[in-house]
Amino acid sequence: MTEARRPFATSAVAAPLRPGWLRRATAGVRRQPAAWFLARRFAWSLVVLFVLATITFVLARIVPADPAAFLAGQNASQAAITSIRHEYGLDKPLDIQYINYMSGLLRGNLGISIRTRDPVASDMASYLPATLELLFASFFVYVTASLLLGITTAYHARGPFGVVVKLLTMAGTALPVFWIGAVLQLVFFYRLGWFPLGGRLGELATPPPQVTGFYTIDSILAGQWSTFVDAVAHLVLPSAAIVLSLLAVGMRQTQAAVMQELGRHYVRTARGKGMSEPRIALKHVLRNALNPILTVTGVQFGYMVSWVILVEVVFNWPGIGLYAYQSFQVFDYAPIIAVTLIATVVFLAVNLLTDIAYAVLDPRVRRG
Amino acid sequence: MAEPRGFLADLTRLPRLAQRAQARLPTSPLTWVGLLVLVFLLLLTIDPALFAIGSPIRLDIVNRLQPPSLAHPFGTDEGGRDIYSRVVWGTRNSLGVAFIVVLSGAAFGVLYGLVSGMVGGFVDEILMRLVDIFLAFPAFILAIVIAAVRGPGLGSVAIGLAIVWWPGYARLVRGKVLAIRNLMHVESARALGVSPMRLAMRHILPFVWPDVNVRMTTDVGYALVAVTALSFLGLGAQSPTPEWGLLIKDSFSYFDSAWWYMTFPGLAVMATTMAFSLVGDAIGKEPD
Amino acid sequence: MSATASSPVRSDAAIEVVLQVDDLVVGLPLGRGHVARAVNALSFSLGKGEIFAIVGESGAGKSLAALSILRLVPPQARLSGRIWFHGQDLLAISPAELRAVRGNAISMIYQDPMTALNPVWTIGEQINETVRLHQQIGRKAAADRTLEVLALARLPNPRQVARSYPHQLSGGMLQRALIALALSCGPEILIADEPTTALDVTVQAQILAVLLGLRDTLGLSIILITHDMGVVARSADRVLVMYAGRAVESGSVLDVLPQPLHPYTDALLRSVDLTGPRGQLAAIPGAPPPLGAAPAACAFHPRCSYVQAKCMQAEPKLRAVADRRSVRCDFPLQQVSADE
Repeated sequence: MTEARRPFATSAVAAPLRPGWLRRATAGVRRQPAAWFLARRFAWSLVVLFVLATITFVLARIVPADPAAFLAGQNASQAAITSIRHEYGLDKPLDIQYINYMSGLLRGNLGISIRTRDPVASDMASYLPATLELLFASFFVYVTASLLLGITTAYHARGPFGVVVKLLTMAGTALPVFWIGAVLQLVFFYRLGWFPLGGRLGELATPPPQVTGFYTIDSILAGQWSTFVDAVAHLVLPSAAIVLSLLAVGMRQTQAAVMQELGRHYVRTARGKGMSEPRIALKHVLRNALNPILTVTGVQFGYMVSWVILVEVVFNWPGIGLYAYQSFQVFDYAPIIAVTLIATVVFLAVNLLTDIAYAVLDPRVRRG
Repeated sequence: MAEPRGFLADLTRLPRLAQRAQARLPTSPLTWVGLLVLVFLLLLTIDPALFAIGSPIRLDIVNRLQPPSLAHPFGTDEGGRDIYSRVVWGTRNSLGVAFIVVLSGAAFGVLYGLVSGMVGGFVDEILMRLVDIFLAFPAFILAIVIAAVRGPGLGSVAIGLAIVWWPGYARLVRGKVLAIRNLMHVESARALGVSPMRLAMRHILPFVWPDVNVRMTTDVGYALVAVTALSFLGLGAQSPTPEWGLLIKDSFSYFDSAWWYMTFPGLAVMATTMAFSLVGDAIGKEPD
Repeated sequence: MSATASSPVRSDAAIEVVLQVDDLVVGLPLGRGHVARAVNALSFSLGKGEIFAIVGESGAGKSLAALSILRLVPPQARLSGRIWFHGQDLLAISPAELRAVRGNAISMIYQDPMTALNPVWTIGEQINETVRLHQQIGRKAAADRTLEVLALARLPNPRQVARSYPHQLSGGMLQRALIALALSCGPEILIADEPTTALDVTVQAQILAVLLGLRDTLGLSIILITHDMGVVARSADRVLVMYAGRAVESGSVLDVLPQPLHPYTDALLRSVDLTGPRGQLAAIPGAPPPLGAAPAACAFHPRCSYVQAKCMQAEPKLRAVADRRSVRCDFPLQQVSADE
């Protein structure tokens, strides 16, 4: 996890590309190492999604003893089960089921939620922006905090500041994120009253006109400043919970990367030019240290995506995590399967963006 | 280099082993604390009765939601049950399951990685692609799905987590196997006709083991957090089984009035995870 | 030059001194409280427009001495002594004042040009940055200045170089880019720490030519650190020979090289002479004393061909033997009239 990536290192499989027509067709792209690499990664992501969809098929149709009963929910009547069986084509042979399932997925059919009686896909569409807003807010805070703390502790590793930060962040990683969330609520809502308990907006507030689905952005676009403040206030505690539980790794990685860069000769040259330490740290060192930091950040985002469901439950945040949770509490399983797919898509997209970031940041890599 | 064999020979090796063991004792006080906590937890997992003071499931409605006292060091819950006992007896359900997850995940992963690395070639490529696919999913969510489909319970949790845990070990081990495969003594052993099994056991495994060991130790902590998270979501232990994640979940309804209910199970998780991390880091820093 | 400091600025009749180093000591902690003197009470002065070489084997302390001037030594090193520049002691001024001097009035170039520059930025961006750090000028003016100094450093295609990244240039070109960087704010003094060591012989000559040219056209004063007497012979005006952290001989190149006084200087010169088309550098047998070993004797005596009993008993003092010439030896190779 601590190795810097060599993003364009080609593996053996990439060498002779078969069949011939594929080789000729992709000749142009392959000459550009950066573009070719990204194309390969994209194709790879599609493969992963395909495998995941297959796995969900296995889990939904093959693993349960009676898939129809499984889909119909705990308290379904025999008649309901039979109708589900017919509706979903569960009486057909498995290979036909598989094809139907996959083609359904491609069309955006993620099943029907027993609980809401709506297509899962439309439910997800309405809940997804909330989750994304929380994820991006948390990610932004996480990156900023990791970088700042990492750089500062790189300079003051042995001092009291460094030790305290290290212990606090270690404790953060050792605690379940839902516990941290609850403690934050206890302290900042019940005892101090500084931040709200949960939800995206106050009880009586109305959401801003929908443009992106992000209350923060939409309220700015509509000029509703009080709504904006309200939305941000509601974001604080949930993202703080996520950040606290992940900060240790990000900070430690930044610290290690920065310390390594500080020993390099170009830092001495920069000092010899008369640059001040803070400027050197931010302008020179950080750019070079970003490579290993990026690698870890991608992994951390994966954790974030996984754990957001816990945070949504604690803070009653109306995102796809809470939606899935409320569903499988009543044995309605289609939503959780859909959430898995969506979460994987988000995760893969972020990894792809990370690869693009490598190419942008390091000119050595761009030329191949 | 012929090594002396037999029982007497093993005896003569003891002083050297003891010396090496002593050199490996932790130096930092923090690591000692971690080690002590670890030993304590292991004892607790094996036999909770050692430290228990009563029943974890005995109801006593009259004394519900009492703050910590001599009789109830961690207070009582909404049913009047002693939280201390529930935490103590819950160790097995939380930490024990975490152990099982890491052990089984590591066992399968190491085997997979060994085979993949030793066979090499196209098979290795395919096997590793599979691992890459697994690692491309958000692991925790996949564990949720698996547990949900199997039906709630600690067994489902164990299986679900083990399934998402093994790929990390496979990749780790396979990397190390590739690194050592090309070293001289492995090649020459091969040339001498040493069987693959023996090759694996005597030459490759010792090389691979330290990294796996470190990772397993720190992983126990993270597996524990995952187990509690799944129970928190209702997919793991079911009431009234004592389990730390479940305790935290139950405490939520009362957390502003009964702070002790939530605090102690949380601290238990934290202490456990930190202890394993500290010891794992200490093992990792040892020169091999 | 005597080993004791008197006044901050030494004024000789014809020579204006731009930098005066008095009793510079660089201490390196060895653990458990021991501090070794990697540079041991070094003193010298740099004249205007002069190329002053400090020569010695690796580990002699010459790089540390050079780095000390701008306080670029590693954080664990302890500096003491005085370094006078324009009436100020560089070792005593505040970090902010020091930053105003670095890259501005005094610049430095380093041993390994391949790693001395930030790999993610172009040459031009890095020189621009220096210019705008010390001078309040606009971007266009800074860009022009960048091209100007790149040309001064004799780079054939300044515009192209300015747009390039470090990994795209050869060692020789990089070193010239570093020189350009050092020149960007019009310094009075350039410290060159083994600028040719990492480069091959043909490129070496080019770099030295650049440095000489800068001295001639700009009146730049240069401190040149090297382990190669050949470089000293070709480029320097005055030389100081260091051994085990101490100055053992110094004087004008025209005096020292033909007639070295210290056996070590003599040995160094021989090691260059024997380099023929197929010849090996004749190494001086033995090795310098390890850091921290402090014999109460001449540090060089184990390897000295002319060693005598007294050499093993007491460390010789640095003695001035002529006008601006001194040697640290009780039995110098020539008996020149000593004035104490």
